[in-house]
Amino acid sequence: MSDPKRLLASAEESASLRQLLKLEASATPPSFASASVWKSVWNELGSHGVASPIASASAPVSVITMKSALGIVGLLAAGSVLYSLSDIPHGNDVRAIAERAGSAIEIPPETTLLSPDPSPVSSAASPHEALSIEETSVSKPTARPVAPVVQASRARNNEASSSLRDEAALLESARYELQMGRGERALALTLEHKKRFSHACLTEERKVIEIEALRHSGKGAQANDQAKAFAREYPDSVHLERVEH
Amino acid sequence: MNFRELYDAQFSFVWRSLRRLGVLETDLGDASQEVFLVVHRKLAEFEGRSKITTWIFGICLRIAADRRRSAARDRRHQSPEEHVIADNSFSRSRDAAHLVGELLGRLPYEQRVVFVMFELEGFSGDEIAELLAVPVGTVRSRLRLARDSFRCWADARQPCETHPSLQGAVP
Repeated sequence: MSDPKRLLASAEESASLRQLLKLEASATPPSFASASVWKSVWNELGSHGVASPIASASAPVSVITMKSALGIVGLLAAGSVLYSLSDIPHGNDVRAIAERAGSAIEIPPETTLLSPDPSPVSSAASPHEALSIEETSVSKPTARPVAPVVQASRARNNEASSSLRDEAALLESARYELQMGRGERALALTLEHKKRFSHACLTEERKVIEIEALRHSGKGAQANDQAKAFAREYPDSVHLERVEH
Repeated sequence: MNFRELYDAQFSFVWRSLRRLGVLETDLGDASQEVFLVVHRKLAEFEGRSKITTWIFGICLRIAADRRRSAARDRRHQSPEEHVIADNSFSRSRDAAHLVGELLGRLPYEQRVVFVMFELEGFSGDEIAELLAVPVGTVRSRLRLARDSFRCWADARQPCETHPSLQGAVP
């Protein structure tokens, strides 16, 4: 049996419900959060005698990259950690975000992330230790055989499930470019979103970014035309005020 | 891919997952840090049979559960007046993210986890069932209940006080 259609993609659901879920699905952390947390992670790993925060000796970390990252942290770490829909993710490496959007977030088993000789699985990561809700732990899937039909069904489900994350990641990148004042680049990413996701869940959000990116790129007339079209298409949108300015 | 690249690729996912699992805004930084320290420590054990996001979400679940327990202990030390203010926060929140967060907080936690994974993070029923080690039917049942609550709330644009799923739920 296949999964039900997601609420935010279902035309049968109320507009208000879909809109709220869309907003939430496309939400991102505040811009400084990534650098701030990374600084803490790096400090913690260093203080415990870890030479470098890397999982495999076969993929050595660039010391220059780490030092650069800490330099950026110094500039961005100020402020409290609050969540806002209008904020954009910090992108020390925006290419990584764009690549994530383009190539998915899975890491194949053969990547250098994995130790060639994994240490024994701890109790917290036992494949047989399920996640009860209040006493959760990290479980790993077992390698039980599955029928080809089931595998095909799972493949389809997995494909669909990664699509929303890919959409959100791509628009996240577009937002970041916009925030950085790179309107043309943001436009290019919204165009990529339009091409890649023919049945997109976050079309409304993409259009908002597109209109703002047009304005940033000096294409005010085109932006106004699109804003009017947006208002007709989404008369109840919470973004209306934003696109009409 | 090195750890830094993994961090960059997964930070937003970890942050929003923790928030949606009920970690307080003020604790999100610390909880995210904790997740990545666990990721770093256990990465060698990750066998790549599932998506890295599924594995990381499992870590987020455990950290969020710890944080929720701590927050619940703190709440027990609040005065009754402070408690009332916290519970009334729904009516004052107008931001969509906060509203969604408030409703998530009113769902029974098992439903909340399934709803977040399926509706907001796009995991499949099979993936959720595998991570939680419950039958897919259970996942769908929890999802159905959570959806009913959300529909009720979204249509009313206010908490559905009489809805069974919301009665007695712990925020």
